[in-house]
Amino acid sequence: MPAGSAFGNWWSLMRPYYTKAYQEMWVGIGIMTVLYYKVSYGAASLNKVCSKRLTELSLFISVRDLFINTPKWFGYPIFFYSEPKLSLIN
Amino acid sequence: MTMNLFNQFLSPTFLGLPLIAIALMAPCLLYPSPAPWWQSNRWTTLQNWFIGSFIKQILSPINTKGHSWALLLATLMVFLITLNTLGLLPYTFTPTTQLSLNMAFAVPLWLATVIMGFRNSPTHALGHLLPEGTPTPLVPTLIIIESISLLIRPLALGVRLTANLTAGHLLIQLVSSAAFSLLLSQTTAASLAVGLLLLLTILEIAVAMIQAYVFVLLLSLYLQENV
Repeated sequence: MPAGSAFGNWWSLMRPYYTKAYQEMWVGIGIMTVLYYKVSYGAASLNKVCSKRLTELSLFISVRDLFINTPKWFGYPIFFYSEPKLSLIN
Repeated sequence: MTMNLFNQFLSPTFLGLPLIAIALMAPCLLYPSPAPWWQSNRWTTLQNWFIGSFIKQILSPINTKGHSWALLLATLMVFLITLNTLGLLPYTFTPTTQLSLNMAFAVPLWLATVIMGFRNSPTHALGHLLPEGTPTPLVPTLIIIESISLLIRPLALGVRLTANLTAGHLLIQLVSSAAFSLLLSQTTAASLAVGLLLLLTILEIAVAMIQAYVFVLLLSLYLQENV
């Protein structure tokens, strides 16, 4: 299968980099993944361990992101974060 | 009815699907792949020459142990330059205006250099926290200051790229809005604004390339310290 052999070819070339040369990179990638998860989805679990203010901030960010990416034909809720684009230039 | 200037920086989605993934794939699609034959065409030769010169210049102060980072640094440089310059086209989205993307580059790469330093020569890595010739009473203070400057590096790396590009795009939008709205009523002012816009665009092309280079250069300096 072309897709499978393409991945195989790529991995045979890149394997020494990912497994030997850039081992230390995976630590940072793991930390950033956890941080992104916490900021985007971690409001409920943060409530147990962190202060109320941090939980509210995380909830605000996750809820805000949800409404920012809502398609326009869904309609805007009252507390929409950014106003609709009304300029001819934008 | 106010115009929100930051709408251009919203990560684009279509029916819930993030389009930033397509934006991030754009650099991969634009460059020719290496050819299996001996003599490549002009574009591939130019690309190879550019990457070769860049790598030679950026890896010259680094010893042989750090040369395994050549692929990463070259890829990062080409990727960032392409994203930054493509974002200057009208109505395109610049992924490098997103702090999340830039921190995702900065933190793992910086942390990798620090861990490499502590793994290979921990004494040497710890020695960076105290400059040579420091007077004894200042030692504790300076260790704290150097530790803070070490920890601030990834934040500075990410925020520098984000802020430069965001500010540039914002300025372009402001000046172009002013030129457009003044076009009919005050033509002279509008033509001055258009002239300013031209100069600003040239500046932003330079900033786009320089900021990508600065990002990679600083990473190579951090690597040089720890290898």
